[in-house]
Amino acid sequence: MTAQEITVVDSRARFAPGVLFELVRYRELIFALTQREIKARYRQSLLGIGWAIAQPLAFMVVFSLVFSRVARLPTEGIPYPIFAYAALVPWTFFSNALTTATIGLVSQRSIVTKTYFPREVIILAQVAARFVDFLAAALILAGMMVWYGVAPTLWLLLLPVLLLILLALIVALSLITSALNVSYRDLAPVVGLGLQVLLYLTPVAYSITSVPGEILPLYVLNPLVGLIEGFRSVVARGQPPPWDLLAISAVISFVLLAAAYAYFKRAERAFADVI
Amino acid sequence: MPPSDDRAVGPGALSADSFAIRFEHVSKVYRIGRQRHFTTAFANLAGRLVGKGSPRPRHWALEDVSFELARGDSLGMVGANGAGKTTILKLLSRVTWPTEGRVLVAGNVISLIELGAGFHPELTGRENIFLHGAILGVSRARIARRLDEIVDFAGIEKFVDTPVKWYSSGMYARLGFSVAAFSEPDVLLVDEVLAVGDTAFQRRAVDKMREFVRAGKTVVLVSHDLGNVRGLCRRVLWLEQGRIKAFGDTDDIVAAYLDDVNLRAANEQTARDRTETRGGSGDARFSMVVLLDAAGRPAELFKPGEPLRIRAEYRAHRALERPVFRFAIVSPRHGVTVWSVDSRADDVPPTVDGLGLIECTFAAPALRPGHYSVALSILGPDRIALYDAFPSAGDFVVSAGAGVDEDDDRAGLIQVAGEIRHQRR
Repeated sequence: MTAQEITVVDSRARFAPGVLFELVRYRELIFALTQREIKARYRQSLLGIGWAIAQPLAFMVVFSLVFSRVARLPTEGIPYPIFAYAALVPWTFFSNALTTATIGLVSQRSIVTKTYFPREVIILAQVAARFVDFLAAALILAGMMVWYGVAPTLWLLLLPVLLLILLALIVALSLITSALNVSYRDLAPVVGLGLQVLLYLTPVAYSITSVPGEILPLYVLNPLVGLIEGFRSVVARGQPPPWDLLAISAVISFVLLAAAYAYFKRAERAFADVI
Repeated sequence: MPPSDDRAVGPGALSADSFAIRFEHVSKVYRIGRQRHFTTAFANLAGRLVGKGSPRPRHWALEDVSFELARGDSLGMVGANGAGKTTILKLLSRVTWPTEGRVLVAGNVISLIELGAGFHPELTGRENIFLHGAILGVSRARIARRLDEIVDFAGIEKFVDTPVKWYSSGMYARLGFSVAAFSEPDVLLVDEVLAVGDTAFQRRAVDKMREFVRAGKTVVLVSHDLGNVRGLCRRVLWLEQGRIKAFGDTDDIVAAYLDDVNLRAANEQTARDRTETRGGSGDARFSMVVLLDAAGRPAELFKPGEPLRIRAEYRAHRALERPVFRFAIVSPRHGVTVWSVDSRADDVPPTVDGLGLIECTFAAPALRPGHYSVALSILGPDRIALYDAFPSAGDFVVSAGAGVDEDDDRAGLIQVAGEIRHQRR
């Protein structure tokens, strides 16, 4: 008789970091669910991947009209469309990924209640699918930089670092909101409202230099501040990111990620029962 | 090494054991009436803080369940709805987490709890095969290796590149079964899924499961079709209200389970009939009816061929001339009288008045296993006047015993030896 792997499910078991290895075993599922998400989303719509670009582009046009022409915000000499779009691309990724991941578990109810896999797989797949949108939108950004003659600098090489922190933040928040949404279905509109407010608390349409000094200590606790300004710096300004702000973002994001993951794995056991 | 704090203990820890499945004091509690809204959750939290909240009611779906299934055996589960069968399947597939105790499973588990749950309607059959495989935890390489077999078994060759939203429900279910069946599980969980698809496919599905069992794999089957349980499973777990009622070899447990189901039906019938109005003029009434076994003890469960005595007490409210007592055995399920006898030829006094006792022995009920009722009546000498009609005076069950035929309507009611000869012409 061949030795088979014994799976033990113990009611008293606690969260162990060993579960991360399980994710490696389920990498094919992350890939398959991501693929399914992208294929299913774009197969039925004529515009296809264009939708991924349309949203930040539309915001850019509106922002350009309102903030650049009407409000005449200072942009440090950068063409406003680039100034706004460089921040809108990561913001749209953040916003869309969090929105879809929040309802991710509930929308995958049929498989959550029927078969086992680490449930964070669903969240990771949702975020990954939105990451593909992000890449498409970033391609347009590259095109715009050529059009406006904004030369890339070596600071652009920091993009992967910024992305890593952004991903940590998105996954952390998604793990929390999606788990809560299993029990409390009215969480999705709360997240939608929160994102609308957050857009104005984040330097997307404006620069951090426009923020009054007295509220700055509180303002920078928003981990998106360092990230969005960081993206804008390395892409549009061709400068180093604001290191201090980025450090705040990184610490908050990764601490949050660890806490969120532990919470999610604990809550996960009850998903199939209450979903 | 105790497999203490890790969720999934890797190979080595317990692999020397030869079980396929082991439950150790497993309980599962569901909270019922759970609130679904953020606002109510806050209200509830506030209520609890000031000590006004009431804890949500709990439901014990499983209570202290322990059993072990040896490797190579297959398990059938029987029991009423809500007995905990599906909860056990969900624990085995790790969809749900035990509230208490441990669940141990050897090898990879594939669940047929719902066929095609992971399909996406916009994707083609081929794309869905890989997707469904991934959801079941099967590697892409393994699916790719068996793709032709999967497509062939499901019978969807022509539609493999068509989005599954155009599939019929039968094709959907067949494809779901095929992916699971060809994913080489060590433990296959099956929950009444054979009700889907056409008869031909159902037969192929059962054959496929037999193949598994022969190959030494474990099939865990929940089915109301006891024929399938008998055909596929070596061991049967009988659950009742979240607890193990019995666990053992299939023939014994299935027979005991059938008897129990029939006895319950009999008791329900009795309770129903007591509330029904009695027929007849009421000049005489049966007051007490008891069914006795060969030893003279009150009984409701009889072995095939065991003598059955019906003892009935009656009261005549006036003097009745030459009354006729009729005893009948009825099958409520078929709605037919199986047998009847009356007292005309027997030793009944010419006039009865007041209390009396009458007994009828039914020598050897060559009845097939099942639930039967006893119907009694008191008639006038012309057998037209009806003093009392007691349509369901008592109920009894003929025991299934090991190795008898299926509990099947088509099998008829009586069991007598028959011989079939065949000649080639």
